[in-house]
Amino acid sequence: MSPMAQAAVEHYVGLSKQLNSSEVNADVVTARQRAQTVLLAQGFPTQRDEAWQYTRLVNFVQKRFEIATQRPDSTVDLNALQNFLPPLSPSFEVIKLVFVDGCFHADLSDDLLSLPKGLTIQFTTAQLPDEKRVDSEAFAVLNQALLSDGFTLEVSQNSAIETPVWVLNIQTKSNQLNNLTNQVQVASNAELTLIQQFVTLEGVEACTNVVTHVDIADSARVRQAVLQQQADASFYFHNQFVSQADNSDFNTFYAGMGSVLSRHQNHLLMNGEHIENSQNSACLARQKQVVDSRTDTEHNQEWGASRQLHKYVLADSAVGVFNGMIKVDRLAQKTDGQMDNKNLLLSSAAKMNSKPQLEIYADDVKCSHGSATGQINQDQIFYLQARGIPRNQAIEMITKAFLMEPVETINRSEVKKWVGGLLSHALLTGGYFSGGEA
Amino acid sequence: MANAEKSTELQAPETQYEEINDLLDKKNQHYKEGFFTSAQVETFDKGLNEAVVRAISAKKDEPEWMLDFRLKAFKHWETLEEPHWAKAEYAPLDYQDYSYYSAPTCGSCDSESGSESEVDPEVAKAFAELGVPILGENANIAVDAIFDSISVSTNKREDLSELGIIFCSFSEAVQDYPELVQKYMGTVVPYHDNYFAALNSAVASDGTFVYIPEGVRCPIDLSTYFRINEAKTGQFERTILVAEKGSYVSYLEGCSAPVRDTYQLHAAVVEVIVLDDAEVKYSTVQNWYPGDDEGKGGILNFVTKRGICEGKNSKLSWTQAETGSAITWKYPSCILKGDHSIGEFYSVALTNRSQQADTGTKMIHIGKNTRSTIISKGISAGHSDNTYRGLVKILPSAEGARNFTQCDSMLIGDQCGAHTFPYIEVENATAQVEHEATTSRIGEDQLFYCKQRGIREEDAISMIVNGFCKEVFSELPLEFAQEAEELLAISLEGSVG
Repeated sequence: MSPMAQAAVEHYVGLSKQLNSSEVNADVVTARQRAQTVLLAQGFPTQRDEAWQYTRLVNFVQKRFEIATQRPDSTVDLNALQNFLPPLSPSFEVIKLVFVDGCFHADLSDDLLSLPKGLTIQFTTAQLPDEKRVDSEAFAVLNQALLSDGFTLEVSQNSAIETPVWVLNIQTKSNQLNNLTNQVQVASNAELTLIQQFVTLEGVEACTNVVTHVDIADSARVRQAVLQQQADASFYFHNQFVSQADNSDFNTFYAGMGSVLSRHQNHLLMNGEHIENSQNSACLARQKQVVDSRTDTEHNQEWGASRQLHKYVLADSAVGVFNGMIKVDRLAQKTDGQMDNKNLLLSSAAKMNSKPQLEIYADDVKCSHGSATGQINQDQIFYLQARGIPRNQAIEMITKAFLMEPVETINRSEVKKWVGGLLSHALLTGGYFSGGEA
Repeated sequence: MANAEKSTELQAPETQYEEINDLLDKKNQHYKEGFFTSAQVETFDKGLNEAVVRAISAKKDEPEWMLDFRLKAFKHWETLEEPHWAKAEYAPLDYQDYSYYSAPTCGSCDSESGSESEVDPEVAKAFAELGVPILGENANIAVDAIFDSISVSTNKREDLSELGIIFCSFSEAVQDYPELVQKYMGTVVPYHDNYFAALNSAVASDGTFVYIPEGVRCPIDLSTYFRINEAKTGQFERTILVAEKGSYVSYLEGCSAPVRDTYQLHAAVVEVIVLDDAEVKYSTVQNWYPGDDEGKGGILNFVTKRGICEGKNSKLSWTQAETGSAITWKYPSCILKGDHSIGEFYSVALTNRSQQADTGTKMIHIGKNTRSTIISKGISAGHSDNTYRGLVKILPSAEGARNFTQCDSMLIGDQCGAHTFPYIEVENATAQVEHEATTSRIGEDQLFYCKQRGIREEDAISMIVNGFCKEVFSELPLEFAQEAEELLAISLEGSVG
């Protein structure tokens, strides 16, 4: 480990110890201590680690992010936030939960006493996660070392929660680490729509490190959208540990639009028969942004079906990283797995690194993956120009259409429309088209 | 005629092949090349140190620069750690437990690399049994036969030299064409490239050296046949192939080894240099001993093969049929440096029993409008693991580069694994890179269709597998394609039932 990375590790272990000194829950103390040991032993990954070959942490380890000491922080200007929220808010009915600098903010959120029947939300430190899965990811270990905030959301058996739960995370201060550990438990035959949105105030250089555990019981249905729109200098790390039981259905969509370095990971276990899931993403990056999205899908039982479509639009000298793995266990006969990654490079300095992988141990399966990277087909531009559409507008139209394809996989139409709007806004106003007059 | 001779030899009562017969009766019926030749040999003691490296060099009477290259590589190798990132499980090797030099000797023929008349009769017999025409009986092919550490025979050299083509063993090239060897050795695969390349550079045994002069189209296929015979020996051949401007050559290599119950090491380095407008077709049929049914023994095939398309419009095509070896770690690569150069990789890798193969290619696009095609077919059966691992890298300078990759895997049985690990790195927006991979098995309806028409299940499977591999086999030279098909059928025997 470089001295710089070593110093960063010690810094975060120090923060963890500081948290422990005032902690009353013995289980939490033990969990943090365990994570400290793992973090000290493993350190932060370097370029030599296969999983971090294309995603360099040099900039991250140079920083020393702090955790908020006052919770909730009374210095936050609520009026400013009230003004900040409206443009982001969905136009449809939601159950709103707002976290400011990693702390739940009751004043900005909906009344938790009037939740629909079958839905419970708590903010106490949740039950502790499976260590083995956590230890394989440095940022999940860090998350556990600083374990304190987050939500626990439970949906009881046979309850279909019609209204989407919208969790908005706002970072208001630079140099702060927003450490969230979330638990989502959806019981047998229940249904939930969850939207997690990560934003910062303009110009904030903060870090968000999230771990979300999602347990989906048999025949349950979970739809999820994760929107990452942090300011350009921020960092974002999100590990999702999902496990699915028989006949369950999971649909997740990730939109990566902000941060200088962002990494969104799904670790998905299909521990049952007849499971279906769909994991999709649309990522946009420009300037020196690094946008990393990865999935790790394990088919462990028969008759599972998984679908994936990941699209990237990269401008300037942005770097895109996609890493997907479909693992099919010996027992998972009749698996149907499909993973696609398509990338559009808008500038000659942009880079794309794609690693779609298959690891298959069962013979009666249908698995495939595809990856394509290139620029806009000149014939397509010509086609539109021939119909009187100016060149710049033609390029915008084609790029937008390219990026919107995965959005189609969102099943709820109001969520689809809203997410599509946010993405196209980010694309059309983000400076992706130099000299373009739309 | 050659065949008639061969069979009478084999029926001789005092046959040397008792050992194979014993072995074949018990197990390993799937590996017909598994016999052992008991020629008189000179073998170095086990162990690897600087003295051994010097001794190898002295044995070959090498010039100073070659010894320096070896020592430099050996020093570097000592600082490295054995890589284990491939998807194959094996205990770390004990490099002191191998012998690094073994050569057949016989009373009458004392020279290092015998000419056609001086081959040890036992060795000649072994090659005859393998069907390798070392005596030049086949008009369409020139053969360099390598037995353990040395090249025993290279035929048709005179005919080729009339065209200015150099086709000789690597050791001879070091003596006779030092300026060419010095100019090209280590330029494509430097000694510090990786662990096994460093080891090879230090203890390189023999190999083939091919030089095609400007504008010459090599009229016959050039071929090298590698045979590892001694137990506990490593083979570390070094092959250099240079195609000057506007030339063409088709080069083939084949390999086999006797049945042994311990791992044997094969760590080769192949360097191919292709200049302006030249074309090289490099085909391999790899049939090293794959180990027995329990996964005991077999060849560890850790090979670094790399070619550079140095010149404009040059073309390098790798075709491989991999059916042997206990563990394969092999990525024949193309560095597409010249503008408009073309790289191709066609591969069929079949694993059965407890074989583990981690193979693929690297296509590094540097020049403008460079194109590459990768077609990889993996077939896994038994308890084996078959992995495709490939890199396609488009550098910022590679305007208009184009790549197409297709990886198809087929699983036979539910105890094997098929994996695909592609790495795609695109740094130029004008590039177009496509990758697709599928995994499937032989469909029940396909089998039913064939059986309904009176085709036995085994034959149907063989037919379907051959159809699956056709795109690759059609790239192999004719005899090789046939050999590969037959090998596939033999290797698949017993995998279905």
